[in-house]
This record gives sequence, structure tokens and C-alpha cells, in this order.
Amino acid sequence: MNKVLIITERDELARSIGRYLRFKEGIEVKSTFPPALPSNAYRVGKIEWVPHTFRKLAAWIEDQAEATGGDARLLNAIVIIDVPSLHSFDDLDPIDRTKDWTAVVGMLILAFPEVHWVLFGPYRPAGRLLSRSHFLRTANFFQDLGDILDLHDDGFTALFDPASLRHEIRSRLQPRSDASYVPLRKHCAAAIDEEQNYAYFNAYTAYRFGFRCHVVTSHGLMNEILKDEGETELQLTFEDIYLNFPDKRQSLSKILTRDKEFRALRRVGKRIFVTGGHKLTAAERTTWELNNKYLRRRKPLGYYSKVMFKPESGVFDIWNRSGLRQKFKSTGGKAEGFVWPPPKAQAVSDTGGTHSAPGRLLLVAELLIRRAGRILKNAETVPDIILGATLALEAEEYLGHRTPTTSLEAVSLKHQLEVLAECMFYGVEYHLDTKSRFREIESEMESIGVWFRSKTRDVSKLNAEIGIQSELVLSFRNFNQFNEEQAALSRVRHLYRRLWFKRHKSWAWLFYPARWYFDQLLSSLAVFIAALTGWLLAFGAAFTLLANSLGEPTADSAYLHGFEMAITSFFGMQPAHDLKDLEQAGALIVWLTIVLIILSFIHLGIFVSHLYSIIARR
Amino acid sequence: MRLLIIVTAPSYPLWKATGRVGWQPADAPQDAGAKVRVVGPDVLMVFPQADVSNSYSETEREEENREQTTSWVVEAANAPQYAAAEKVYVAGHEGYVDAERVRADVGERLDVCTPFIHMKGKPPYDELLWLVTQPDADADDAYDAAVDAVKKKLELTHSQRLSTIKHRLAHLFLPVSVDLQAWRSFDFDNEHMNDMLNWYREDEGRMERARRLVYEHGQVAGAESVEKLVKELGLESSEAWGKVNRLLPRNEPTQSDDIQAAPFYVEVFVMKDVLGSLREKTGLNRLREALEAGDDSFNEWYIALETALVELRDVMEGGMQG
Repeated sequence: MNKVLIITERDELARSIGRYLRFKEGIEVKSTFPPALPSNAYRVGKIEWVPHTFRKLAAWIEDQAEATGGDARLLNAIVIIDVPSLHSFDDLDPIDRTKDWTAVVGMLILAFPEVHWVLFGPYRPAGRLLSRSHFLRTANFFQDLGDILDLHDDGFTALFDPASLRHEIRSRLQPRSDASYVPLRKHCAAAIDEEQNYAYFNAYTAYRFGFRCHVVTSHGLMNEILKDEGETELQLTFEDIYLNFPDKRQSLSKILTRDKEFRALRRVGKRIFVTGGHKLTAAERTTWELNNKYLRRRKPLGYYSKVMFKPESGVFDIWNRSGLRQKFKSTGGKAEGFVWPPPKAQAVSDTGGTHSAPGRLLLVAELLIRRAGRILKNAETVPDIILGATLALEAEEYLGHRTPTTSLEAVSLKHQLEVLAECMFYGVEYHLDTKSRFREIESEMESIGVWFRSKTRDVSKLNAEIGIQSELVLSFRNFNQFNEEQAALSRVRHLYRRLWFKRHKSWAWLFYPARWYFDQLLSSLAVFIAALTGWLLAFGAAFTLLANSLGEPTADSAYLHGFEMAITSFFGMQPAHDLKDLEQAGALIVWLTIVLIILSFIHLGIFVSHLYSIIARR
Repeated sequence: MRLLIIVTAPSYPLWKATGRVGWQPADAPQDAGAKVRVVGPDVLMVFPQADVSNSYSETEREEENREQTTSWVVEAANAPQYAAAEKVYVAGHEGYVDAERVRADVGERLDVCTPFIHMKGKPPYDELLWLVTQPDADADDAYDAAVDAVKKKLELTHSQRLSTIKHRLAHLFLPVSVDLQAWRSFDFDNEHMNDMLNWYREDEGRMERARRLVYEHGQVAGAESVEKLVKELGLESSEAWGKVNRLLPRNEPTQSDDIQAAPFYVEVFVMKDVLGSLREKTGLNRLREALEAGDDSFNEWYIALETALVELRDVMEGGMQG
């Protein structure tokens, strides 16, 4: 445990808890008090007090992180927060202007998703995991605190909202007309792997596509959440086959044994098994056979499973290769009930609100973006980068693609951080899926673009996408991801071309085909070679026809002669025959030869550039 | 006859519905533009919140508009034509009606004055909207439902207020509970004990602070207490309140009758003097011996007090006399 913070009205309880933790865990607890709400503050007083208090406390929390190494130090920090007026989740609605301290608490929970929030107040929800993970009872305070510390020690992380604390707050936002775009993650998944990087990476993938997710990296936590059937309902798991937890109690490689021990796994509808695929020993081969047999028996009962081999290859590829995109096709390739991006109809309806997100959600989003930006510059480990990507993703969702400029910042950061995670993680193979990413960026621009001024909408969208893609080019370049860099560059060129055309429509149409053609040549070597072949064949045919029309007899096939002329002129960058002979043959052949030489010159330049890029891997 | 007064905002459906057939302009309050409708034997009145202030300051504007709106509510409730109303209920747009002043100026006829917000799903808004949009034939049931919802909101408010006070009490006693349990979990470590000693050495007045949260005497007027809530709901003779009194008596018991009435309290805070023991080493050693012998009376007392307050809260929510 790295950090515990306490926000409480009174010092005494903070000191007692601090004393306990100092002795138990050897950590110094930091505490602070929220500013007092004036007792005569009515509506306006509360409305002003809430954002002011939020900013103050958020700054304090950030300072605590800064003092011990930066934003990433908040990952899995525990913050115990005193909420004396909490009587239901409705009170945590951050944009309810009749609420004061509870609205601030709601904002803090959304703004710091990586923090393990522990609420101390009169309210305790019914859900076992939610109450056990995030709430303290006055009657059972010491035991509840002990349980939370145990959970924390077992590796519980709130980052992907496994206990649905943030989901409960989001559910209060959704009925509001000005925040109905905020998506809900109704279903839960689990990423089970003793390797923390894989567990976080897979959990982030599940979260991104609409599932809340447990990150399970210990036997203790697996026991806590999966032991009993009905305790936790999971719709999806990513499971390592060979689990070697640090607190391993028994072998769990045989899935049948695993399911007997952890009964909640039996009912999981979709299970993705991630493994290195080693079958070196007889025991491993036996395990494989038994597992295949068991999974085949489950299939007719409607349970889907798939084995994927490490290393993985990026969030999109995981989702595609696991078959989950196909399985969730009816819901847009995402979890049921997870509606993202916000439907266009909502943006244009009368009740869809304005082009801005509610001010308090904007405040939350800005803080998330600021922190994600800092993590992008300073992150050192995969979980830290995943944290940054999650912060940016949360910001994007709270903005709902409204407040376009800020939304674009969030989208850009999300993609940069995801690419960074994919590039830095040795568990991800070298080649990444850029097509899916670029497609998603395009659709996000489409969604954000609804809020741009209609007259300049297209240009604004293109500019925005160019900005994001340009940043991805740099990211790929920094990690020597050559093919991905080229793909991104190609996309940028395509966007520039379209932008140039929109800006200069009156005359750009003249040059558009040529510009389009050169962009295609630059996009890949295969296209380039195909183009060369095409030109040679075309000019070969042209030369043949001209020679025939001029009645020139040749010893060889007429077409072969024409092709030979084309090759000689193209690769030699000179006429195939003496200029005087060509002139005698006719002006048309001369012009054809000239055009071919010029084309050859241009293509040669492009070819050398391609070759150099490949060899130098720049 | 009952009088239900709804103060709303002019842009909301609650006010716009009064433009339909069946609504008449009200004589009082003057200048409020109120509308009334008779619902069986009862009267329903709706008027928009005041917007009379010319101040540039938003806070001042809100204050002045609230003053004016509250005056209108009082004027309406006390108007001669509604003097026959045995019970007056007020549902005021949150922030626009000063409930304390209404209670003071209207008196015993006022049953409840509760704030609400114009949001579907947040009681009592749905019931109020349902009432004002009902045709006469169906309005009786809707009137009862609206009154129940307004009263229930207040009852919920009482139980919520009690929960908040309970939480503040927890802040007084939980630190002691946590320290003792933690000390025991560390096998009565000396360093931990010294730390506790340094903290509690100057600790005084904890029980007095607790009494100020539970009882009304000796407090600033208007300060919240359990007793105040109990009196507002007329639960003085409830068993749940009696339990609280026995566990945390109003005064330190010195007479034999008082001692017999609060045995648990006397055991923990007089005979064993748990709070006093925390302030000195000898006392802490005594506490250690007791804890080692399995005597966890302070924690048990605290849980009993918690339980009694939860029972009282349930009584408030149920609206029952204990």
C-alpha cells in the first residue's frame, strides 16, 4: 500500500486511523478538512461552494501525489472520505445543485477513478462487494476498515470500477437531459493473470469496450470475488491458463479444477484464455488436452471460449481476435447496454442539451485530462500508462463529445496513451492494428463534429483529425513502429489532401487526381510497384499501337517491342531509340517518350525514398 | 379543510397547468398572482416564486426573493378565507421558502413546510405535478397522495437529519473504539499506548459534546439535536428514545434513581471510567487488563447506542409512536 489520505470534518478520527495505519502498515497518513459551508447558504451559496471546494480538494490530492512521485502514485491509493449527509446514491449526483458536500464527493470520485474511495457515512448500499469495498459502517468500523485493507493487500483496484461505485453515480446522471449521454457499464468482467501488465492491459480492453472489470492478480482476491456462485456476476473473463499467483495455494491450470474451486467462473458466458501456449512437458500437454475437452463440453451449453496466445497485439486486435467484436455485433461490437459514442439523434433533439457538457462535469473532465497529459510525459510502467489512458477515456465520456475542443484533447490523449501502452508492453507483438484505430478516430471526429459550426464543420473535423493523427505518427516513430508510422503518415496525407481541396475548391479539382495518385504511391510499396507495372503495360501498349499505325514492321512481336521501348525509356530515363529516329516516327511517339521519362523521374524519386525508409527503418 | 400551498417557478409545468379550466385567481396573497382550486373539501393553491429583487448581486437577489416568497406563503396561510384550514402544508421550490419563519408565523396549523426540486423521480415533485394536472373528478386521491408525499419528504428529512447527528456522534466515540481495538490488535504495544496517551492526555469534554448532539439544553438556538427531532415528531414517549436516554443520559448520573436508570452508562463511564483512563498511564494499564480479560464494554456500549439510534430512526421513518 503506497498511500492513504483522509478527508474528514474532524481531526480525531483521522488521527486514530492514522495511528492504526502507521503501526500496521508503516505509512504516514495525510489528512485534511473540507472548507465549511456557511450555515445560511442557500441555493446560490451552495452552487458556488461546490466547485470551489472540489478544486481545493482536488488540488490537495494532486499535491499529495506530487510529493511522492507524481500522478501515477495515486493508482490504488486509499482515500477515506467522511460523508455525514450521505443517505443514498442520489446524494452523490455531482450536478444536483441542491446538494453540497455530497455533490463534491461525487465529483471527486469521478475525477480520481484510480483511487480506492472509502466512504464513511450513514448510508450503506445493499450490494456486498460494493459495500465491502467502498463503505465503512460506524457500528463495525474497525472490522470494515480491516476488510478494506485486506482487499487492498490482495490487489483490489477500483480503476475499472469493478464494484460499480462510479456506475451508481453515472446512473444518477443519465436521467438528466443535459447528461444523458454519459454511458453506463452495466456488466462486469475480470482479467485474471499473475502478470500485472497483462491483467491491466486486458482489463483496460474490457473497460474500453463497455465492461467494468476486476483486475485479479492474487489467489486471495480471486477467492474473495469468485469463490461463491452468485456472489459476483461476470459476463466476460480474460484468464491466463497457467496461473502462478504469488499467494498460490494450488494449481489452477486445469480449467475444470479452477471452475470447481471458483464457482462464479462456471456461469461466465464468454471466457478468453490467454496463454503463452507452452506444451513442452507431458504434464502441460495433458493439461491442454483436458482443457480442450472441458471447453468443448461447455460449448453446446452456450458458453463461449477462445484461446489466445501471448504476446497480444493491441486493444483492437485483442477484441477482434478473441471473437468478442463479432459476439457483440448486435450492440456495435461493445457490451450490451454500453452506448458509445453518443447517438447523433441525441445531439440534435430538443431535449439533447447544449453543445457544452454540464459545467461540473467539464471541471471533472479538465482535471482528468490534465493528469492524463502529465502521465503521458512521465509514465514509466504499463499500469501507469493504462491509468493515463483510463483517465482520458473517462474524460471523453463525461464530456460526451460536447465542448468540442476539450473533447478533442481527451480523444487525442486516449489514443496516444493507448499507442504508448501497446508500444511499451513487451507482451504486445510488433505489428499493431492501425486500421481499427483510425476508423475509430474518424467516427469520433464525426461525433464531435456535430457540435461544430455547420459552415466550417468539415474543415474543423479534418483539422482535428490531422492533429490527432500527427501525434500518433510521432508516437509510432519514437518506438520504431515503422509500418504503423507509415500507415499514420498515409492517413495524414489523405486528410491534408481533403483539407486542401475543401479550402481551394475553385481550382484544386484540377490537381486533385495527381495529388491523390502521389499519396497512393507513398502509402505502400506494393501500391507503388503495382502502379509502375501499370504504367509500363500502358505505355507498352501505346508504343505498340503507334508503331503499328505507323506501319513499322518488327522482327519480334509488336507488343514486345512496345514494352521494350517503355522499359528502356522508363528505367533508363532516355528515349528507347535515337531522337532523330523517333522524330521520324512521329511527334506523338516523341511526346509519349517525353511524358514517360518525366513520369519515370518522379517515380524513381518516390521509389528511392521508399527503399531508404525501409532500410533505415525511419 | 386542508390547505396545500405549492410555490413553484413560472417556467415549469406546475405553474403552467394552472392556466387550465378549474383554476381561479386567489385573493391572497396579494401581488403573488396565485391561483386556487377547490379539491373536495380541501384547497390547493399554487403561485410562482417571487422575482422582485433589483439587486445586481445574485446572493442578495436570492435572499430578497426568498423573503418576499416566504411573506406570501405566510399571508396565504393566515388569510381569513383560509382560516378554516385545520392543517396547512407547504411545498416550496428549494431555496425560496424559509421554513423556520413560516413555522414561526403560521404556528400550529402548519403541518409541514418542505422544499422540493422540479425533477421527475424526486419526491414530492411527481405527486404535485400529478395533482395539479388532474381533472376535478380524480383530484381527491391525488390531493391525498400529494400531501403524503410532502409529509413523507419531511419524515425522510427527519430520519436523514438523525443519521447525520448519529454520524457526528460516531466522530466522538469511534476514535476511542478504533484506538482500543487497534491497541489490542498490536498486542498492547507500548509505543502505541504512549501515542494514545499523548493524544488523549488533554482530551476533555467528549461526553459533554455528545450530550449537546443528543439533548437540546445549553445549545445555540436552532442547533440540531436528536431531542429536537424527537419533539418535532412527537416521539418523546417512544421506547427507542427511552433507550437512547438510558445509554446516554442527559446529565451525569449522581442520584441512585439516575444510576439505576442508566446502568450500562454507569458501568462504562463511571465505574470503569474508560474516557478518564485514556488520559493517564495507570488508567491505560487498567484498560489493558480489562481488554485482555475480554472486557470490551466501551465498544459494546457504543454499538448499543448506535442500535438505539437506528431504532429511533426507523420509528421516524415509519411515523409510528414507539
